[in-house]
Amino acid sequence: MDWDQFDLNPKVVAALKKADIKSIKQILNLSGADLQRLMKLSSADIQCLLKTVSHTLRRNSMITALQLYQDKDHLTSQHQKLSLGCSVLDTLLKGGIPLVGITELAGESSAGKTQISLQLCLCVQYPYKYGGLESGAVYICTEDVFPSKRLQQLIDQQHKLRADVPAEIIQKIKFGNSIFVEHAADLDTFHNCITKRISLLLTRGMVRLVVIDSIAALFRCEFGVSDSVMKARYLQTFGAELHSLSTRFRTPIMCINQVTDAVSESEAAQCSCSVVGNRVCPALGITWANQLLMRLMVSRVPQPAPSSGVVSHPTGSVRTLRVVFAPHLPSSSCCYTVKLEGVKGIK
Amino acid sequence: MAAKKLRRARLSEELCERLSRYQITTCQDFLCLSLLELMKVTGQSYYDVQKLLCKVSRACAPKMQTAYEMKLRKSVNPSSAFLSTTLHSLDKVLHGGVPCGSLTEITSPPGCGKTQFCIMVSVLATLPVSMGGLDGAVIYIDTESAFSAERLIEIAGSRFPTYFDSDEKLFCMTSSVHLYRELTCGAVLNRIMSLEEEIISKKVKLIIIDSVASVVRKEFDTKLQGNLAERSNFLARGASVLKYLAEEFSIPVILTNQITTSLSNGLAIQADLVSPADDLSLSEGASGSGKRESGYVTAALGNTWSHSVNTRLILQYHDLLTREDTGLISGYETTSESPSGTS
Repeated sequence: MDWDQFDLNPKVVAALKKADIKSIKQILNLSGADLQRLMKLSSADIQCLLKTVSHTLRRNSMITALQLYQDKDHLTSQHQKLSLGCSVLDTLLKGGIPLVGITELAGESSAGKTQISLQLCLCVQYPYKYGGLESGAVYICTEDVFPSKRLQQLIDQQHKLRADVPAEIIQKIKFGNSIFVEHAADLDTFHNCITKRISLLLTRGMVRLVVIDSIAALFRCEFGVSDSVMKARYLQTFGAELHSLSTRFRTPIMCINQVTDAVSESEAAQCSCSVVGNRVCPALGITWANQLLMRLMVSRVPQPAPSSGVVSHPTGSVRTLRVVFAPHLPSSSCCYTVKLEGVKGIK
Repeated sequence: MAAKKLRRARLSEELCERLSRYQITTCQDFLCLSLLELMKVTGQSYYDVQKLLCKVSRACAPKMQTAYEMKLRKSVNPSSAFLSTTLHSLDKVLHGGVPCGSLTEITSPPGCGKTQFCIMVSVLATLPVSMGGLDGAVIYIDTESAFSAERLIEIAGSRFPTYFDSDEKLFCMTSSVHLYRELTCGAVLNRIMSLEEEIISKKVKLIIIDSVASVVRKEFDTKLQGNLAERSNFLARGASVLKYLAEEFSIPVILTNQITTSLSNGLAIQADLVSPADDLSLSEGASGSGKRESGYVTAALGNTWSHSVNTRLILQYHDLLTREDTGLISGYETTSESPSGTS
């Protein structure tokens, strides 16, 4: 270790060489008093040495936008995203789900939310090269039993959905093994789950995706209108904990939400529903919306004006995925269908 | 300001060296000692120490200036007094743009465009003065991980295609936007305290904090005893340091806030509550009581914070396509509302 490259007093550098300290690890493993004794320096000098050495290890936590854009430090890279498994949907989201932050998927019942989240649970297990994160997923069910039959179907058909991935890689991945399912029907179980149980899996790197299906179900049954204050507090707490898990472990968090009717103009405008007559907005209000990074909405109403070259799908099976707000995406939408092998976008 | 280093107070080098041996590095340390102690530490005579005291006090006390001087300064060089947002109607209402030397707050419902506005203003600040910018670096403190470098480049390329025609200009712009990711109140406060050195060394001309509300509201639960006072304390400290920085270096500071609903049904409820208007489907079934709470949306963080910021801008959804910007009470205008252009 070349001690001259550090910004240290020559006296300290000489003492380091004399004490035969070869690496930063050795310095950090010893206590201040031990270092003093070993190098025969004053405590102020040792403090200075420790500070300089740790500074070089932990670079200044500031990065410029240029560094961010050029991806120099892959720990803070924003280019890496979790792919959805379909190229059309990935283009809509400019790569996929961002790794840090809470993403919400809201929509009416049977719009395809659970299908998309099951697909994500499988996509996360692919190698980085194919848009995954080489790790498992945690699926927290709050209202319904976990659809294991559908998951098995999807696993069997993965080779059809992901034609871009070589077959031997797909065969090697044990999909069912890395999906951890938890049923949390009330708030306390849910709280316990996200504070204690998930962190264990996350620290060991066994999972890198958390899906909560659905967050609205926990709150809409338990709280009436007069309990709004309590509800807001829980929402804030959960949002904060999820966000801190997401940032600490660079894990995407996907929350599924339900919808309510948008009664007034302003509410409809907030979720930019352009289809009159089907004005719904996501549930849980402003408090929850403030915690989100990105909000997606799915609906069964297809976008108008299909192009003539498109294979005609039976009406009613074409759904729309729309970006309501995201800091890095424009307001856009695309159509998709739910097939046997999974969710596929339509160009 | 008491933490100003003695070296900046124009004391001689060897005196500063001598004082630092006694662990006296800031004006505060110097002024806390008695005359006798100072004489011993500096080794100078009584009269010389008096003169030193005068010098150091003058260095850290705020300077007096007359209103006429201020007006002269602003009229001679109007570009240094405001950062134009390039939204003409907004600039007109704000009498020039985002004011330098004071705190501006932007608040809106989620998804309305606060982060986009902040990113756009960071591009503007790096432009040269001839194009209406401030020709300086930007410090962006991001607490929600919402900053996207690609979006920054997209905005720069689309808004000023003729200026950012080469990669070099883009590199230059992006390398002057300094991003800090802080996740807790304590970290944000520490970062604000340490900004002074960064401003000088990096020639920063704009500070953006996005968003103050998200960290504060997560950590302080106003229902618990004592938390409300602690929260106001934290906000006041942060705001005072930011105001000092803005004033001292004449730069604009932009902060982002969230919207909350305030219930007014007679109960003594604090200002941060959830909207009663969500889950309409549920309440319709249970509306037997008939008592409908009326609420109105307001900026979060309470009254104390509203007093700390100088200008408050509110973005709202106008109709399905446009968003409206309402400039509220600021130091520069007394009218309460003027709907301005669409973004």
